[in-house]
Amino acid sequence: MIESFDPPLADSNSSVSTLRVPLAAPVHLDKEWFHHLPGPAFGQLKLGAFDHDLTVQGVSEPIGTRVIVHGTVTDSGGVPVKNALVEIWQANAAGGYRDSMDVSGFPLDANFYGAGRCLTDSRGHYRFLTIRPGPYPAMFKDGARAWRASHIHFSVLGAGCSSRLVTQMYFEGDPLIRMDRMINAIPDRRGQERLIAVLDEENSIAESFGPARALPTVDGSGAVVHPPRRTDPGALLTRNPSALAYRFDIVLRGSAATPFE
Amino acid sequence: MILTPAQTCGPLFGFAMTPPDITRTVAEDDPAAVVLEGMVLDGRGDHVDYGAFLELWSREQACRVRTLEGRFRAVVRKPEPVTLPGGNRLAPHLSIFLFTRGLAGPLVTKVYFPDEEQANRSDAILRQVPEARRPLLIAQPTGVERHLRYDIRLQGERESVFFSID
Ligand SMILES: [Fe+2]
Repeated sequence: MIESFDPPLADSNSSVSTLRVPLAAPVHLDKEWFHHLPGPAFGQLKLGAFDHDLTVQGVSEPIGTRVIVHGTVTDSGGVPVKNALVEIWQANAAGGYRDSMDVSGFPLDANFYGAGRCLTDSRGHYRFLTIRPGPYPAMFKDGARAWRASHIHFSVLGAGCSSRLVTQMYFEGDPLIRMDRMINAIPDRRGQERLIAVLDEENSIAESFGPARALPTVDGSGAVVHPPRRTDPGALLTRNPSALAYRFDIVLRGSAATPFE
Repeated sequence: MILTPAQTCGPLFGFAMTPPDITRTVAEDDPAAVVLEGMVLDGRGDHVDYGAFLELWSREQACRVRTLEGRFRAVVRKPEPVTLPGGNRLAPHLSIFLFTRGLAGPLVTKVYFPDEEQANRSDAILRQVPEARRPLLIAQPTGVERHLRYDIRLQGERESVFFSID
């Protein structure tokens, strides 16, 4: 049995949906009446050697936790789809997008562009190397700003346009998932779970590399050396004040009325 | 089997989804090239803020373009007519998949050519569309050779014809 749990077309989170969802009923067509291309979609597109590795697209490495995002593209019968074009786009580790319309004010990472693409191999497998995107606040229907969970935007194109998929991927264990309005617009938990990438210990890589940093952190007397510090107090007023709030309650041992033993 | 659910493309895709080469399938000065230009308009007649991206498909080609200030511009080869295995004949046309923020999935429409009147009349897809709405699926001549105009209206009196796929 094939089960589908797409959210309603009117993305209930967006105030613009009411002006964008067509009002007339769609005309139903058999999928045969759409086009199937023999080769990969957008055959004119030249894939670069580093298009699947978002950590080497800049002159130096981007800041953030490196993640391998990989998996298999199959059809609804479980058959691997080879030569599917898989594209991703995402925020940097601070939650900022390298897009002229990003109004977050979050810092850009000079070494992170946030877009990648690759084709699935003969077993339907794809693999990206990137950094874990930071969460960011987004505007919702009621005008409220609410935090999105960390997510990577995905676009997948198999052999024909009738299987076209654009979606978002989340990270297992992210506590923001339970308050993310986008994934919670999916009406069934089984559908939501399809979008949550599972931590894959077996394919994770844990190595050390190279010598220790040649970075002076103490001077000749053993005192700590700091890089230059900003002293302008106005700096705090000119940046986005958004921050995730975490509550950290501390309960001290003993009684406040009696000194520690 | 549980299918992977769709999610909106959101507002910030422009930096990623139109790499060089993807926006055309043929050089603009190629004699076979057709330039298709138009607007994507919402229920108020405004162009969609943060833009949309569109994918245009035929049997022999596919390209992806995005709107800037509501306007898209695609350079494609004019498609050939198609006869389906069941014998249905389709006039030259492109399928269009449109993505924009506020929509959880794509809107699917088609664009036919104004110089194919006879083929359009017998086209099996157009015949499923109420006659009064068929002209909405046909691009308009602009007076400039090989340049066509095709607006996509998401709502309103001249709402475009959208399709669902089984
Ligand atoms: Fe996003």
